[in-house]
Amino acid sequence: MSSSLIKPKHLKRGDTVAIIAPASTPFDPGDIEYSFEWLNKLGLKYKLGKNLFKSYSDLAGTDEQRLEDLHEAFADREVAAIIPVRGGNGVCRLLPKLDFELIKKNPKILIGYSDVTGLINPIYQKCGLVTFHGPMAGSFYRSSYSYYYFQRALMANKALGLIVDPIPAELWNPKYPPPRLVIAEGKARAPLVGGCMTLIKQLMGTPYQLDTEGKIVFLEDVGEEPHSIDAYLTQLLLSGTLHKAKGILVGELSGCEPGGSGRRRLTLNKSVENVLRERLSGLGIPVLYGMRFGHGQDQFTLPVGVTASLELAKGKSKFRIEEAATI
Amino acid sequence: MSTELEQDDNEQEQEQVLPKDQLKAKALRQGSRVAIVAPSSRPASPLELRRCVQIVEEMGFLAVVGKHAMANDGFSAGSDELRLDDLQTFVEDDSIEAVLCASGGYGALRLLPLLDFGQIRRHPKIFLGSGANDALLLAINELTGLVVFHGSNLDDVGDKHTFNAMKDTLMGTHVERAINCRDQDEAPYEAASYSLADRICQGIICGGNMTALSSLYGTRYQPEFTGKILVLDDFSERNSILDRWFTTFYLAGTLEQVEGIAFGGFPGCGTRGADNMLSIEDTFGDRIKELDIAACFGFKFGLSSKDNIVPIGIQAKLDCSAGTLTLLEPALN
Repeated sequence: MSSSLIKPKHLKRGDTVAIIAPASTPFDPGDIEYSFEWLNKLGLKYKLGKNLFKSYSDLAGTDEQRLEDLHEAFADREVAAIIPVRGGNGVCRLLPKLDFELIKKNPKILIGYSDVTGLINPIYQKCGLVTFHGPMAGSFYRSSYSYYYFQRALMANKALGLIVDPIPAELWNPKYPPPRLVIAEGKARAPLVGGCMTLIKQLMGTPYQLDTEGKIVFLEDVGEEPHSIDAYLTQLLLSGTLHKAKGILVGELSGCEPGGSGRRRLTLNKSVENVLRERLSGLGIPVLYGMRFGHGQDQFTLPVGVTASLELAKGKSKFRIEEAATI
Repeated sequence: MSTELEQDDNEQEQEQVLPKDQLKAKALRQGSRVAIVAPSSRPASPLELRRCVQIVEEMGFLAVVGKHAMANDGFSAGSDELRLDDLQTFVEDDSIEAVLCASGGYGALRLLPLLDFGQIRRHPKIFLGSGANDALLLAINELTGLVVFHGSNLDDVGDKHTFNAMKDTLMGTHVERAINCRDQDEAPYEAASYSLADRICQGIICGGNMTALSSLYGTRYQPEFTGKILVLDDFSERNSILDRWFTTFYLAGTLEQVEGIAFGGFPGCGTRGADNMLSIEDTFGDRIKELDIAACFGFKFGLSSKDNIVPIGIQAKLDCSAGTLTLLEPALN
């Protein structure tokens, strides 16, 4: 597998990145000013997609407009990396018309999470291009932790190695979940795929369904009721998808506590942690819950397609990204 | 029981491909024994379950309540084992002629790998429910060919109209029943239909709750859609999430395979907070136009307008300009 991988070139100071909106756009255009400042700090120049601030429903313009910006960013020789401004909704609508050949011929860094899960995995699967699950133009500066891993993942050609947890800002009243809740012990060494569960579920039964065979699968979500998370995992189990994985890494499930979604609440409930334990502990593969990636402030960057290893035992867990994701 | 199937243990049965030719249950008569189960969440209260029993009895049937209907295991009405036990007991009991779901919520999906579908094929009977229970109904129809009923869970029956529609369906063998966007006795300002292409098509009805249907994608329970008329509704879901599931149908080729789509009610759907979001008709409309699918919005099935029950697995004709879905064969024997 690794031999057919295409790794993008890492970013250097002076490189240009394209900021586009393949999903939704910031409601307040001024929000993006912060992104410019922080990109400047990294020594990066930027180009804006011409439809970046278009609006159609909750999307950043029509499917054609969003696709045009994405294609142009890949085709543009000056652009070294594509950093969407944010997720939201709408990426999967673009897939049937996405020019995978163009992407294959112009490999470059693409990073995103949430709705952009629907781009980074299909592009890795169809093109063999290593992509990145991590914060975007509107979020990479949300915490020093996110910023540190964003920079290390994109601006160097070394393996990220052992991933460490953020130092809590407050000693007292630590945040749930603890970053290393071992759901099932074990060891695995395999390429990474994954992202937002809603997107992984959305692509089930389609030509873009996540191929989890022999992979370490990472999962996260935001604002879904525990029963919805159960339904997503049950669907993955019914399809045999999770049985083929080598290991599972569940990040933060922000706002997935009972009632957190603000819709489809049930009167009786179960915690999302119990859902994970019920659905994932019996697969015979290592499962870890709580590492800081997903919709929280702190998120480390996970390269899609490169080899990582998971070593989980009681009170001791290691997650290591073993392979360089860029050249 | 046929002997060649009897020897199969549960696990082998899962892998076995059952005959999928259409199978119809018998219509109910006064005094028929009807089971009330909760394959998903439990009814809101004991009082609510009592009301479900009264509804069934008022229809003239004998209500038999599942042992574990009020069990409680987090969001589901008891563990998978308990919910399965109720369901499987009634499936195999030949004195039970119909299995009606008391309530929706979540949980039916989890029962699919545990359920003995061969026994359902061997003991055909009426299965009726909606919402989360559609995952179960659609899997039954897909794996056994049995005509099932997407309509109301019993706790949704809250008026005479819904009550009569359910009773008529359960006892009915009449053909030419039509499910209309606007009934003849309704004023034009009370109801309307909206279509993007004024077309007429014919096919076997498939579908139901969008969330439940989408949860079968990529699994062995995913329906075969070629030549079908898709019916879709949902409730209490964000339009942006419904856009996601409709996109699943788009990417999976479902929209190209079906003959047409009849959209029911989407009560409680919309935006969360005050985000930008176009209507359901706009959101689905662009792909309906792109693929030039016969589609009509405004049908009265789904939670908003519970007066119609849609049989899954029988021939129907969809007339988009008239806003009618005409059932072309009886759903029961």
